[in-house]
Amino acid sequence: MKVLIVDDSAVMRKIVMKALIEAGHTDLVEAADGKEALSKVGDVDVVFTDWNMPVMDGLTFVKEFRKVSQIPVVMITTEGGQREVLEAMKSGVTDYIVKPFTPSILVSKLESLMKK
Amino acid sequence: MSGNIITKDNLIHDFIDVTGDVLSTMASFDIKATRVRQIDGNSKEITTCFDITGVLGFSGGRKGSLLLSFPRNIAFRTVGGMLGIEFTEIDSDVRDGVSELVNMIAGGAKTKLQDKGIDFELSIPNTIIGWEHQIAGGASTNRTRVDFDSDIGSFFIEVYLKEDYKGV
Repeated sequence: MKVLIVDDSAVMRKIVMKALIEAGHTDLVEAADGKEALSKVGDVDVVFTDWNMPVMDGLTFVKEFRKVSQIPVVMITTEGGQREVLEAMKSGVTDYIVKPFTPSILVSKLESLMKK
Repeated sequence: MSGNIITKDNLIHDFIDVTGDVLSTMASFDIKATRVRQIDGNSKEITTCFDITGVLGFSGGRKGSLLLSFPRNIAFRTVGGMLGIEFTEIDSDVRDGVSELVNMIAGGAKTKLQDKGIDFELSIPNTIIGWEHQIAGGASTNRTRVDFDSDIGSFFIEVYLKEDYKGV
C-alpha cells in the first residue's frame, strides 16, 4: 500500500513516516503542499494531509483531488472544532486525526482503511 | 487600552491544559504551570525570550497572538522526543518542530474556545532564534504569560486575544 504524506512541516512528515515505517508500512511518498501533492498522487492508495499549508491548503487539495479520485484521504490537523471537521468531511475527507496524536492512532487509521 | 479576553474570562487555563497535552502526547514531556502573570500594555514591558520562540497570530473573529519560548535544551528534548533522535544544535528540524508545537497549542486552544463561542483563525507559525531575543507586544495590548517548569528547566507561553472584535 502506497501512502502519500502531505504537510508543509518537514518534521510532521518525518513523524508520520516514522510511525508508519515502524508499523511496517514503507512505501511512502511526501509532498509539502496541496499543489505538489496533486502531482504525486497518481498511484498512491491512501493520502494523509495537513489542512493549513501555503501554496495550496489541504481542503482545496481534497476538493481538487475528489474530481479525479475516490481513494481514502485522512486529514491530520490542529483544526479540531466541529465546524472544521464537518467542512472537511463535506469536502471529501474520509477520516480525521486531530493533532496532537500518538503513532498508534495514525497506524490504526491506516490499517482500518486497508481493510475496507 | 485593548482588553485581553484571556484575562477577562480567565481562559488561560485552556491554553495551559492544551500545552501540557501537546507536549505529553507528542514528546512524552511532562510539565507544570508555575506562574500566571498579566502584563499591562501600558507598562510597555518587552518580552525577553529564551533561545527559540514559536510565534503564531490569530485573525478573523478575534485578533491576537501566541508565543512559545524554549531554551535550547527544552527545544532539543521536545523535538527530539517527537522524532526519536537527539539534537545538539538549532537546525531546520528544531525550528520546524517548535513551529509545529505552537501550531498544535493554538489549534487545541481554538477548539476549546470555539466551544465557548470565541472564534478565530490561525496563521502559519514562524520561529525566532537567538538567546534573549525580545518581542514587543502591540501598542497598548495586555498579555497573559504562563511560566512552566520541567525536570530540565523552564519555558513560557504568552497569549493575547483581543476582547472585542470591531473589524480592525
